[in-house]
Amino acid sequence: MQRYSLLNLARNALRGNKDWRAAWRTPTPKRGYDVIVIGGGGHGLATAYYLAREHGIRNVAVLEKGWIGGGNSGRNTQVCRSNYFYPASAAFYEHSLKLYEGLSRELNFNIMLSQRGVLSLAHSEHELEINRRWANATLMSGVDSEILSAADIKKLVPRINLESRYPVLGGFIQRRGGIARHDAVVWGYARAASALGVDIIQNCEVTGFQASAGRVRGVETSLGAITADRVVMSVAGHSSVLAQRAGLRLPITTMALQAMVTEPIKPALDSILVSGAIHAYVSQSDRGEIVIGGAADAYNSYAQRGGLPVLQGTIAAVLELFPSFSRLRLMRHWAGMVDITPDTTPIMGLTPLEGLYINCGWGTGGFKAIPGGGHSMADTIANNRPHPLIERFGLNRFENGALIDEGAAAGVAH
Amino acid sequence: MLRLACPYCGVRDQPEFRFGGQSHITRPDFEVSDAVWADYLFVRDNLKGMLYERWLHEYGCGRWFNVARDTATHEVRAVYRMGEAKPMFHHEQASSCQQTAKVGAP
Amino acid sequence: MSVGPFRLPAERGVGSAIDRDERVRFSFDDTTYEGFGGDTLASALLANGVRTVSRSFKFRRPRGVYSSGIEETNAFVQLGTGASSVLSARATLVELTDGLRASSLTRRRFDVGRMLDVTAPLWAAGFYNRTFIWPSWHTYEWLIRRMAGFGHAPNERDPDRYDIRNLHCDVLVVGSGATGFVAASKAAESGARVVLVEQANELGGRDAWQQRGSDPGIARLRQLPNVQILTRTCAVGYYDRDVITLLESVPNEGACSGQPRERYWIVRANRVVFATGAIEQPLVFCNNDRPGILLAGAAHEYLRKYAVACGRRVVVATNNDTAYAVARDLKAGGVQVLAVADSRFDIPTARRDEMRTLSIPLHEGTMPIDTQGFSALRGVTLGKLSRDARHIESVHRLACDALAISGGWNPTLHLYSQATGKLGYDARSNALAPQSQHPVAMVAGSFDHEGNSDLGPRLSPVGNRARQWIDLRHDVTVADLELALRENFVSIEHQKRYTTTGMAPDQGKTSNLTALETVARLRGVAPSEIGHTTFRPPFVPVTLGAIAGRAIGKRFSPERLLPLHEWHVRQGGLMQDYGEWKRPAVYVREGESRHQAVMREARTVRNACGLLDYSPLGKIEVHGPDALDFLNRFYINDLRTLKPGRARYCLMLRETGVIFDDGTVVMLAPDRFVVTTTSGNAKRVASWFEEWHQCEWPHLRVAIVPVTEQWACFSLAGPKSRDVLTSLDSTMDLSTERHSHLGMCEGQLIGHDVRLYRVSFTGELAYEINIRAGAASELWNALMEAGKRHGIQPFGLDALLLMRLEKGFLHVGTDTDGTTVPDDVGWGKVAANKPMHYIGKRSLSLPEHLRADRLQLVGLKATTDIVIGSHVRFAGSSEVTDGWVTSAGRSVTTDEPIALAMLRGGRHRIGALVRLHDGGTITHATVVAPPFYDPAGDRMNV
Repeated sequence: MQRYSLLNLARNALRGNKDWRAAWRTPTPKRGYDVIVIGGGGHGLATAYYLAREHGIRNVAVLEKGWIGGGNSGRNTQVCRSNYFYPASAAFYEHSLKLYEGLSRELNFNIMLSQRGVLSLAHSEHELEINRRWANATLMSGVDSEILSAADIKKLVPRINLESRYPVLGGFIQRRGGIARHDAVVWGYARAASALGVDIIQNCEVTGFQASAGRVRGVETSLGAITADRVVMSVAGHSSVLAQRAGLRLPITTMALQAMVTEPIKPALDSILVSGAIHAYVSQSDRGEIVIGGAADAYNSYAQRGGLPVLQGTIAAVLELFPSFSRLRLMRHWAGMVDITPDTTPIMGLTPLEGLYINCGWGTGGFKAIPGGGHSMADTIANNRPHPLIERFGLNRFENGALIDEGAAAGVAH
Repeated sequence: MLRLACPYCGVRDQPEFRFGGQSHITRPDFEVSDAVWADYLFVRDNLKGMLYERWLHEYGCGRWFNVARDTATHEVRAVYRMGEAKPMFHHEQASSCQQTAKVGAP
Repeated sequence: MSVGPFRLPAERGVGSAIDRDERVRFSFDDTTYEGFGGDTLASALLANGVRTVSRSFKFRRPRGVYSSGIEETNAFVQLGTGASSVLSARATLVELTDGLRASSLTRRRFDVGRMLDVTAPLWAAGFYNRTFIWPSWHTYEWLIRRMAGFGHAPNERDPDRYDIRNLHCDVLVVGSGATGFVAASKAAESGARVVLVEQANELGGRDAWQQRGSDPGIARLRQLPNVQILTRTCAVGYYDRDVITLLESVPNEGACSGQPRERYWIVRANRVVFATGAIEQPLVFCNNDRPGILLAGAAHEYLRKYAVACGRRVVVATNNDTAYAVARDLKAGGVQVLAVADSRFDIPTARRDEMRTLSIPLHEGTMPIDTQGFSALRGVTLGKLSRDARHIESVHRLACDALAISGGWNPTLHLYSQATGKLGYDARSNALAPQSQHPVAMVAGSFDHEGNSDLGPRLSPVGNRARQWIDLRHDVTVADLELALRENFVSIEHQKRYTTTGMAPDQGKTSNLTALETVARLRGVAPSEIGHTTFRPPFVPVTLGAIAGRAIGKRFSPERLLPLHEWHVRQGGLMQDYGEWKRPAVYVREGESRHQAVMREARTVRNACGLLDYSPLGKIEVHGPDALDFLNRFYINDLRTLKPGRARYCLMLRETGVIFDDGTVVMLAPDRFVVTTTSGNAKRVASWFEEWHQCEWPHLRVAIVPVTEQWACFSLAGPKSRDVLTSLDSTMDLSTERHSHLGMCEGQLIGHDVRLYRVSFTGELAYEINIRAGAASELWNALMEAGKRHGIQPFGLDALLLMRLEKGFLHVGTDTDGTTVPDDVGWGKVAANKPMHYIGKRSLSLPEHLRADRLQLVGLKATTDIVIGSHVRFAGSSEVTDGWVTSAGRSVTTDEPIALAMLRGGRHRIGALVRLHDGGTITHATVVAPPFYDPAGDRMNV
């Protein structure tokens, strides 16, 4: 891998940037691999990277039906945090955030992690109580958390309107939470994985699975059959469709989740704000755009387009918090397809088909889980048993009732 | 924005309606296994293509009704009342009879 | 003061849009200028010879007006200051008004950022990914953030308002040029309801100057009753089911005008015609970004509509026929046209003849390959192309101050693409074209733009690629695209994301096509193989305020007020949000703290009598022969043993076994029930009943009638409450014998029909009095009056919840969450013993719900105050947490800190000493079995 350094940068600049090499290779697919990763998003690429790096499994292919990072990895609002309520969730997401914290250096690729603090707002006394329970839960799990009064919030976010229809009474912040550049995470993992020998194959759609004797043997693709006796699906937004090809039905509903940005302005907002009560989250990107997200459009959809009512509701919610943003202009809005599980916790681990692993159900919060998801899936695949951090995230929890209902406990979108 | 033709009221904008998930679900008997019960609770058709679903005309007549809608295009192919048989569409038959696999890992 | 050195006199026959009699003063960056009525800010600036209007994003290069419309990439300005300022307005769209104050978003004259340009190769695409890794991005981020972005958002609330309007029509025609006009006219003649939308302030489209709205056809169209015409209105979004959004800017904006600043139209159309014309594309060559270089069509428009010459010595460079008219008209307007360079070799004879007649030198197979100048254009280097357009055979330089370029026209298909119409690269017009039929939307006219086929090359084959701009606004050059390819960012989407081309506020309207062609050329493939980036809405940026309309502030979510709202406010009630409702939490008297007030109210109830406005309590009537059977399918309690005139506290589950709601089921008669719900779930439960009835059990003969708002509801609680009640004129026998605990009676109270339930959430003798909402006030006042001698006081929700805590009564949603099953809160036996298959029952036997170490509701006692939300850890526990405090307060009777908590296997921990964690603070408490007060229930059972 060509190292990035100031010296290298200067040398290349002097040579007109002619010496930069491909960030990742474009190999011809081999007939077979030790592991096939379906889906070239953040989770898939991270899984491949950690397989190669931590487990020495380098004969790995990442099969991407379009271009890497073209799904939810490139459509999300870039939020990273680990302040989850239940210990199982907090431990997993904290692991992920810690990996994020070292990721730019590890990958030698600036993923632009900006830990400006993720602030959850409480709009009623009941929410204040729930917030406190939640903040204390994260502290118990060893994750940083701090209760803020309305005055603290005003100091941190001077533009906020505390007297909105549902007044802001307080909140809590995870100061280590923040945003990272989504594309950079994808490219950073792709570059590092490729350098370790992983084959990244774009424009290669998996159309079916080969299996015999209850075990996966490979996949059918638009470029022909490729064998592997270990296959992992990390295809957020298409999980049910692909799983069906392996004979699996998943407890997932796929819906459109909208996001939007305004025209770029000078710094106006440092923290990342989340308001569950009025369904909005808002931050400002390094480019200056105000980045806004809301609730999912509540019906099954694979159309990658959101509806007007949610767009309008989300913007109204943001204007409640920031009336001075009213004159900003919406520059772009789009939607991703999110796989929502009944308990808002992901599904990770083994499947009834031996050698087939699954990583899906991230709902609206998969971006923050990319390093943790990749890391624990790699371990799970290498050892053919769930990594301890994801033991509770298996498919079997639906049958025995052991749901991890973050939404129910915390009452907030995430 | 979706617009749905409520069988009782006619075409209305999406904000008047509430989505109720897949329709034509049979509630199992009490004695079924945990796996079958879990399947009933949590597993729904979620494919790209025709979905038989139910909607409530919440800010209207208050009636539930069925909609056959393509989840890839949002095209509504049919609207019919609760209790009516679902219309079959030629090329959709494959996707509506999916394999039923058990939920639960080994 | 002149109206600008570049303004042509009236006798030249140009200036159709301006009114030379109306002089308009405006300022730009604190210099005052004059323009004419009808000018745009851009035309007035050009007329005044203002060349540099902004600086570019990355290299801070000076930039001038580039276009004359929505596609503008350079001329973004801020209008005004403070609350009413407009951030990054396109000068090309700003109608000049007297006193307009505009300022550039970046320093125009000197910018230290120019250093960045000198070292440009350092900042090539991917720069951020390669740098700022040590020690962390955070170290540098603040600086980068300060450099990014254009303009400061106001700090104040927006003084303007915005409207949302709805429209239904048969035919929506977008664009009022020749095509749109014909489409609208034809549709109108057939009797269809037509809406015609024009983004400019007058109809006519690009050819508006020939008509000035005085065309008799337009006048006729305006008079038709079935035609609605919207000018200054831009179609911005196309959504499912052919819903199109429009943004209309209303002139004379301002809060005092009484008009909204903008209107956001939501149109439902049966047919949509996009007669949206095309956007002119540039030629790409070295230093193609200098002020003075602009699109030829824009130069034409400035000349014809505004009588503004884009320069004194103009060179026209084109690859198609359309720019010849520009050269001709410039010349006719008295502007020196030095040359027309056409990158084609096979120029139509008519064009050659025309240029010869006008004595304008025409260079075939020639295109600009470089320019000179700094903050203004001084000259252009024209290169003679080889026949295969891969080399330059000779060059010559021309000193000029303006260069009008035309690289052909790209049809405006953004909305068609949003409508899921398929687009592809069309090799004949070198532009995108529709590739499919859409059932509702059609594109008309634009892609057959006359002279827009068999184009010459757009891209210069020579020159420093790092100085050939593709996206002017984001400073993306050919070299950036090339670098991205070198690094394997091959997909056009990767190109866009890696280089940020087309991601600026203009969204690539004059750069996406050249980016696509550049990538194709660099990859050595046909442009049609490249695909194109997604056209995401909106077509032009839309004010957030307009999208929200009036659904802000109080209209964001309507407040629901109690029938006695005014009374509560007058009495000092602290009105708080409980869902949509405003309800009194407590009535604080002067000199009291909130805590003192709560304790006073609670003590009054415990010792005498209090009155609570409980009206938001959900109330649903269920009628019909199968009502009992129906309700019995919802509650964990067996209702078959319920008798008419009796009430029962019941729990309702979700199908997953989780507690959904609680309330009383009251049997009015064997086929008539009233059930109450928590106020937050009132709508949800009624809807839940309906869903099951309509979808699962339609054969059951029941009617479900939500009556929450129809009935006001008071809770009269305390040992004296019966005395208060019986002192009122009543038709009911309220003796214990006839109306015992959990009894119900119907009758009259002070002449009004009421329903009276003996249910208690406070633990005292209590009556839930339900009365028609219209009579609420009368009864309330009567009760307060009658209670006077017993010391009655109103009490709020704080006191209520404190008293129920003391009683250990469950508060659904506070003590329970989305994981709590009946056994967790002590209702396991009831749930298990009911033989019928009620909703949720099957889930209760899932393994997880049978575990002994589930969270269970227990009490806590301590010597110091217990904080709600504290987490609990048992001595020697290895768990992260053993549960949490759900409710807490001080006992009304003993003033002792008490709490309810959900603890892991809590019922087996009675008597244990536990640690409470709140933030960094650790306190101790003892686990006890609730209730804390009147365990036998003697006080309510009287």
